[in-house]
Order: sequence, then C-alpha cells, then structure tokens
Amino acid sequence: MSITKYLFLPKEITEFEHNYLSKLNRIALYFFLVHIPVFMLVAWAAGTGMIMALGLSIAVLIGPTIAQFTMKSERVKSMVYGFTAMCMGAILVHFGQGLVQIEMHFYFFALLAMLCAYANPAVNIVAAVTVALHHLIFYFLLPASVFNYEAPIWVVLVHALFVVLETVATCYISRRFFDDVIGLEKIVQARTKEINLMLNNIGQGFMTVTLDGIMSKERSSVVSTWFGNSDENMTFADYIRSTDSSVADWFEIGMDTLREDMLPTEVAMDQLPKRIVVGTTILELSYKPINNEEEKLEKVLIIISDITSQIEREAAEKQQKQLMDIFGHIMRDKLGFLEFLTEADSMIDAVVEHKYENLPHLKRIIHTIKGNAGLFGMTSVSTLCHQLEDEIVSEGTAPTEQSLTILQEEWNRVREKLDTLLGERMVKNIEIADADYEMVLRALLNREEPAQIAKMVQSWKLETAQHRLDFIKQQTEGLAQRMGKTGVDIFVKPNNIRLESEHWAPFWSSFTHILRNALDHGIESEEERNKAEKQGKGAIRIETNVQDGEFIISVQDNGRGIDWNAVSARASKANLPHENQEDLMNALFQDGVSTKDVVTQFSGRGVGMGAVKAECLKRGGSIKLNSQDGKGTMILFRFPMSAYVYNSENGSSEKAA
Amino acid sequence: MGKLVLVVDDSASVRQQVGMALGQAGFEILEAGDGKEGVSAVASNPNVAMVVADVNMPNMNGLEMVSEIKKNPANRALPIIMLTTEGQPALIKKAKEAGAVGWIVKPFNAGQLVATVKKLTA
Repeated sequence: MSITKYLFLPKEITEFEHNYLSKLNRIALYFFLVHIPVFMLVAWAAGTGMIMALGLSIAVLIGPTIAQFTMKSERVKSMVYGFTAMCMGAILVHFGQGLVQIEMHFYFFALLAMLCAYANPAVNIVAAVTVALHHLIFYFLLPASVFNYEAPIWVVLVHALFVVLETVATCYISRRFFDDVIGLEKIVQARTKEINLMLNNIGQGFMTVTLDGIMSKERSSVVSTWFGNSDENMTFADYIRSTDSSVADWFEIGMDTLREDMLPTEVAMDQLPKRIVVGTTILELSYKPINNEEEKLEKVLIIISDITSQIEREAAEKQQKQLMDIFGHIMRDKLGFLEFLTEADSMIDAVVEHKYENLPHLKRIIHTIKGNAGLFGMTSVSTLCHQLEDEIVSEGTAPTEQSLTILQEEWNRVREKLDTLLGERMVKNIEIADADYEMVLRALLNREEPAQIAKMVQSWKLETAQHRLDFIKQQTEGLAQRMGKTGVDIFVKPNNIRLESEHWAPFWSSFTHILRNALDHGIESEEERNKAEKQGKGAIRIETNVQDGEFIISVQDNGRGIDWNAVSARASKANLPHENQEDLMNALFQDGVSTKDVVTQFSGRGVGMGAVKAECLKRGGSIKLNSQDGKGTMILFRFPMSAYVYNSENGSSEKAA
Repeated sequence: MGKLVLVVDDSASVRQQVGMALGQAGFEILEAGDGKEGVSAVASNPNVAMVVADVNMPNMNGLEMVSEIKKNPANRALPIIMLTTEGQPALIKKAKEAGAVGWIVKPFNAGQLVATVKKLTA
C-alpha cells in the first residue's frame, strides 16, 4: 500500500462511518464552544484581555460552526475540526502568556493525539501542518504569542520534531482504527458480496423464512429467476402461489403446524412440500431448522435445487435398462418379438384411434398390451397400460386423450429406439430345421410332385408349434418367477405342427391370459400343496395336436381346480346368469368376472378370459373345460383344420387324420 | 402400562404397521376400521391418549370423525393426527380446521410417528 493510499482513506463512506463522524463532529463543536469561557478565564489570570480572548475565540469558531451546519461531508468537517483544534491551541498559547506559556503547548500535543478519534490520518496531518505554520509565522511576526522568552530557531525546530514524530504515530493509530473498526463494515460488505456471488452461482437457491413464512431479503438470485420478483415482507407461500397454488397452500399449512409446535420439529418439517415444478424445471425443496441461542426454532432455511437433469438422467438410465431387457428378449425369441411389435402396433393404433367396439373391448385390448409388453420387458409401456386400466375402472369411461397420447408417445419412443438399435435384425427371415431341409431335398431327389414339394417349402414360412410352445413355456416360467410361484414345471408337447404365424398371433397373445390364470388361480402355493397332501410339484402341460380333423390346443394344470362357488358369486355380482354349469362356464369366460379379490399386476381384472374366448371364436374354434376340485383344470381349444395349420407328420394340412 | 393410542384406518395393513411401530415404543394400541368405529372407540375408552387416523375411509371419513370427536368438550384436548397421501393441502386444511393437530404423509417413517406420538402424549 502506497503512503498516499495509507494516509488518504478510500473514498466510499459507509453508513456506519458517516453516523460515527457526524456524532463526533457535533461533540467537537460543543467541545470547542465550552473553550470560550475557559480561555477568558486564562486571559483574565494572565492579564492578556478577557474581551480580546472572547472576540478571538468567537472569530475562530465561526468557521467550524458554519461548516457544521452547511457542509455535507462529515470527513471534510472533521478536517475543519482538525484545523480548528490547532487554532484554539494558538489562542490558548497567546492568551496564556506569562510564566506558564510554554506549558500551554501541552494543548497542541493532547489535541493532536485526541484527533485520532476521527480514524482519519488526513485529519492528523491537517492539524500538524496548521500548528507548524502557526509556529513559523508567529515566530517571525509575533514571537511573544508563542514563546515567553527569546527562543532561538532551533527551539521551534524541537517543537516541530515533537509534532512530526507524534503525527507519524497518530496517523498509524488513526489508520488502524479505521481499518479495524470504523471501516470494518466495508470489509463485511465485500465478504457478503463474495458469498452472494458464490450462492448465486451454484444453481441452488437459498433463503430463510421466519416462522410466519416471511422471506428474508438476502437470497440467491436464482430464486427470482424461478419465481419472479417479490414484494417486501412477502411470505414464501404467496411468492410461489402463482407458480403452484396447491404447493403454496401446502407450505402455508405446514408452517402453521411448525409454528404451533405440536409435532416434533423434524416431523413437522418433513411434511412440508418437497417438489415444485416451474415450467419444465423440477425443483426440490428441502428445509433446515435455524435455532436461536435458546435452542428454539427461529427460522427455516429453504434450499431449492434444480433436479431436472437428475430426474432426466434417472429416466434415461431406466430407459436404457428397459432397452437391455427388451434386447435380451429379442435375442431369445426374435420371431415372437417381431410378432409382438406388429400386433402391439395395431393394438395401440386401435386404442388411440378409437377403433374399438365398446369399453370392455378397449379394456381387453389395453390388458393384452399390458401383459405382452410386460413379458417382453417393456415395463414403461405395461405400467402406462396399468394406469389406463385403473383410469377406466375408477372413471367408468374411456381414458382421456391426454393419457392415450402419453401411451402412444411412450410406445413410439420405445419403437424408435428399437428400430435404430436393431436395424436389419428386424427383417424376418426363414429358419428351417435340418429335418425339414432333408425332407425337401429327399423329395426333390425322388422327383416327387412339384405341388407336394411346393407345399413343403411353403410350410417353412409357417412357424413351428415347437418354437411357439417353447416361447410360451419361457414366458410362463418368467411369469411364475415374478409371481413368486417357484417350482412350477411347464411341459410342452408341440408334436409336428406348423402354424401360420400371422393368423394365430392374436390368439397366442390372448392365450397368455390362460397361463396367467393357471398360475395365479390354479396352481397353489407350495405351502397349500403340502397341506392338501398333494404329490409332486405344480405343473402345467401345453400341447398342440391334430386329431380327428381338428387342431387342438390343450392346457392342463394340477392345481386346485376352479372354485365354481366363487365364479357363481362373482357372476351374480356382475348380474350374469349363474343357474347351471353352462352359465358358469360362460361367466368364467366373460370379462369382469374374476375369482380373486385382489387385482394384481398379473391377473385378476377378469379381462383376459374374455379375450381368449373372442380370439378362439374368431378362428371358428370352441372351448371345452374340465375342472376337478382339488385336482386341476384342463382347457381344450378345438379348431377346424385349415390352411393355417400344417401337420408335417404327413406333410399336409388338408389330409389331417 | 403404556398410554393408549387409537389407530383408525380402513386398511388392516396400515393399522398393523402403525400398531407395530407404536407397540414397540411401549404404547397400547386400540384399532378402529372406520370413522364411526373411531368415534365410538373414543366414547367408550376415556383413557385414549391420542388418535392416529386415516382420511379416506368408508362410512365416516377421517374429517367427519375428527369433527364428531371434537364435538364433545371433554375431547377438546385429545390430540389427533391424520395420515394422508401426499399433496392434499385442501384436505389437510379441513382436518386442521376440524381440530386435528397435524398430519403425517404416508408412507410414514416409523421413527417420526413414534416421536410425534410421544411428544403429543407427553
């Protein structure tokens, strides 16, 4: 710090310094005014003329009095008083002529020291210069006014040396006084500025509120970019009301509870709202208690953090995981997956474009999408479908356009991701078993009928029942695991059947409901099986076959059998006929009848069975059900033979025997 | 013997959870399945020290129940807290107007519940 910077204070005058100097200047004026009678007394004692002392004192004090009432800068006023102090000293020394005139010089040195109260080295210097000039001028013009003897010039220099040395010390004291005390506020301000700078750059908003909810003036600037400007003494609730009135109300009641102090503080604070959404920004609100010295809650610190990107990241991670799951399913069963995609495309389209017959039909479609999406790992889609189902159930109407759009958007998003991810993998190609290849080759070499060979090749386009049933087995095992039904054996017996996959796809997708029901309602828990002293594990057998000119799909489980009483009760609740076995059969395959009280993610809404029946009837089939109490259930689907079924046992679809 | 706390909720599992948390903390538990049962439980058990109640219940909901209990001047000091799902400021406001001292959002934290009941029954 250069010497001038040290001697001259920074220009800015804080409020504190201003108030301090203003008080000190006022005191100084009174201090000097009370000098007048003292000086007159000195003049009387020294016989130097009381009236003259009065007149001269008043003449000197006119200046500072005018300055006191007209000048604005307290610092300049303080310099005026520095000058005045030395003038008063001069008067004292002048009127104190006589034996103690030299002792009157004490006044200069005492006042020079007292001026340190101004915390301003400049005041000390003004005073020092004044007294130096006074001594020099009067030494030559009127030495009697300064010395009571014939003092040589070096005596004046001794006086000057005292003044210089004292001034060095007083300047140092004044400056320290300024830096450490009077100017401290400036340092505090600078620090506050730094802290604010920091607070304003960390993307988190901080503010405190009193227990009445009134916000502090000091707060992060980011808060106003989120919620706009605030009025003075505004409550936080009012401040955020235009953003979200519900959160505002919530905060208000929360603060009431906190103030009432009935609940433990942490509990009451934990009930305050934790989130607020501003446009596309998601903000998290967290709270910290601020206690006073008596450990009583005084204020609440509110920390507002922008968690939009965090939430986005979490969503992206979830999507990534879902994609990996889906990919796993594709690796295991590409054909089935492609089928699911095509089918789900048309079902989503039907839902969104209102291409459904009635509400139960809509519910059925959504239910099927939910189930299949779940099986292929598309949790986001199946969750949305579950919500739509809830919406239908609770509102009794079709879901709102908004909810449907959300489903479609999610579906499109997943599809798009899959398309780019899979690219060429999505192209369907034919896979043939070695045996089929051999058979055709043999037929060619044996020069068999071209029509016959063509039929064989055509059959390649058909899906093997083996493949389909393996897939269903795998799905069912996955389902059993998720439902907590461990130790259920799934057996499949496809025989040598091939099926036209597009024709059967909708049937198979509804068919999963049968398996879900078998697992959920049919197969007992291990505990229950032990109690009933049933031998062996729970098992489900699925078979496809051609018999007596009919294509048959059978599902058999060794579970508890159908609880006809429960079906009857449910049917009567749903106002369906329930007089005889046939009524109950019909009721079982009717939407809205489920024998389980609890709706699970897997089954129980009583939608699935209706879908299976509808798909079966569409293909000219019929259903036969045989249930034995405590022993199990067998369901047979019988379809007339058609070009959609190919029995490679005898190489024909028509001649099925 | 611990103080008697009445737990009113139509869900048996919630009653069980609340009961377990408070039971372990040494409170005696009395259960009621809806608002009506809650009112009569308070009427017939003058030593009930506090009520923890759900809002949405059949027959008589939590709000009606609080008003009903508070009708009896003898119950004016009986602390009642509500268990609510998040984001129901309107309901909470009504509950407080009816005379409930506060609310706890479900799913609740057992430690917090115990601390609250301890403070209110102290």
